[in-house]
Amino acid sequence: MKRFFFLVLIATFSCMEKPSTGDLVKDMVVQTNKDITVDFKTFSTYALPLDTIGLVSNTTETSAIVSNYSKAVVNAVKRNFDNQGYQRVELNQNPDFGVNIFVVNDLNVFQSVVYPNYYYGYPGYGFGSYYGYGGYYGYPYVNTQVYNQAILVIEFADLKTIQNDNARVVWTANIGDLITSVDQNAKVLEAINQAFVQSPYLKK
Amino acid sequence: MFFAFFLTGSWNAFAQTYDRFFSLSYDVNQPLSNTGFIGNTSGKGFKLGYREIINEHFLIGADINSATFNDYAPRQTYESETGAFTSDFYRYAYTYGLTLSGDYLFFSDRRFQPFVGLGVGASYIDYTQYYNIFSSSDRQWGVLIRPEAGAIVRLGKYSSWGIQGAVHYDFSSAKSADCEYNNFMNVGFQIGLVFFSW
Repeated sequence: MKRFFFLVLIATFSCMEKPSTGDLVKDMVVQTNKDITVDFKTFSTYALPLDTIGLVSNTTETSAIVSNYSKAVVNAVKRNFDNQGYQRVELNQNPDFGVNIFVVNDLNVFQSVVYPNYYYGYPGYGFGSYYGYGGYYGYPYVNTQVYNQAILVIEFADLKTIQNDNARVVWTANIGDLITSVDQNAKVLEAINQAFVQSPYLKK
Repeated sequence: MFFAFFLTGSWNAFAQTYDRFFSLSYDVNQPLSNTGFIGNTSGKGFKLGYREIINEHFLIGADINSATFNDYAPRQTYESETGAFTSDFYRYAYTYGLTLSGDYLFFSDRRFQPFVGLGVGASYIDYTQYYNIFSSSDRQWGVLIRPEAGAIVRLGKYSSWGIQGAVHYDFSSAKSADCEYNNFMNVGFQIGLVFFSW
C-alpha cells in the first residue's frame, strides 16, 4: 500500500501538465524595442537589400537566405516602412537609416541516460522547445532531446550618427518561433505587420 | 437512499479498530487570489494523507498535496516605455504542499466520523507562462496553512477501507512579483479513499 501511494505521488509530480504544442504555436510572438531618446520623425530615407536576409546559425556556414521566403519577408518590411512615410534609397545615396533583417537559428541535439529506479528525475521540461523521447518507466533509457528554434530579427540602425564605423541600433523587432509555428509563411508576414502596428512612433 | 445510509449507519457504534490510516483524495479547487491572472476552477489536484491515532478524538500526521491551476489570456499587445510585446499566454500555477496536520474526530466510534483539521507546512508554487515555444517561470516557496472540515465514512465494521470528503481553505505565502501574486489562496473540495491499518 505504501508503495502504491508513493508511485502515485511520483507519477503526479512527474507529469506537470503543459499546453499542447498545437495550441501554443498558433501565432508568432512579436517583441519590439525602441531607443526612447530617438525621434523617428527625423529619419527620411533608408537602405534595405531587396532579396536577401541574413542567417546566423549553428548548423550551417551559410550567412544569407536568398529565396522566395526572403523576398516575401523583405517586401513586407519594405511595404511597412514605405507606408510610414520613409523612402528606400540605394546605399550610396546616404540613407538616414539601414534596415537589417536576419534569422537566428539555434539547433541542439543531445542525449542522456535516465535511470528512473535510481533517482526519480524526469527529463525534458522547462527549456522552451524541448521534445523528449523516452523508454519504459522503470528501466534505464536514452533520452534524446532536440532543441531547435529560429527568430526573425529586424533592426533599424541609425546611419546619421555612425561612430567608429558602428551604427547604433535604435529599434528592433524579434519574431518567433519561425520553425514550430503553424502556417509559417503567412504567420511571419502577419507578425511583421504586427511589429509595425505596435510601433506607431515609426512614422516620418 | 444516500442520506438514508448516513441517517441509519452513521449513528451505529463502531469500535475504533484502527491505529493509522492512509488517504488518497481527488481535489477540486477554486483560486481566490489574483483571479484576473488565473481564475478557472482546477480539477487537477490530489492529496495524500497519513494519520496516527493519538487518542479517541485526535489524529496527527502529514499531507502532501498538489494542484494545477491554469487559464488562458488571448493574444494582445502589452506596452512598456521601451517597447511592446504581442502574444497569447497559457498561465499555470503548479502548487505543491507538505503539511504537518492534525484532526479532531467528533465521533471516532461511529461509521460516520466528522472531523475538523488544520495543516501547517511548506508550499512550493511554480508560476509559469507559456507563449509560443517560450516560457517564463517564477518558482517560490512559502508557508502553507490549511484548515479543513469533512468526514470519514468506514465501509464496514472490519473493513480496511473507507471514503473521505472534506472542504478546505489553503493559504500560501508564496508570492510572485512577476505574476502579481502577494499570496496564493484557494478553496477546495476533496473526495477519496481511506485505507485503515492496525
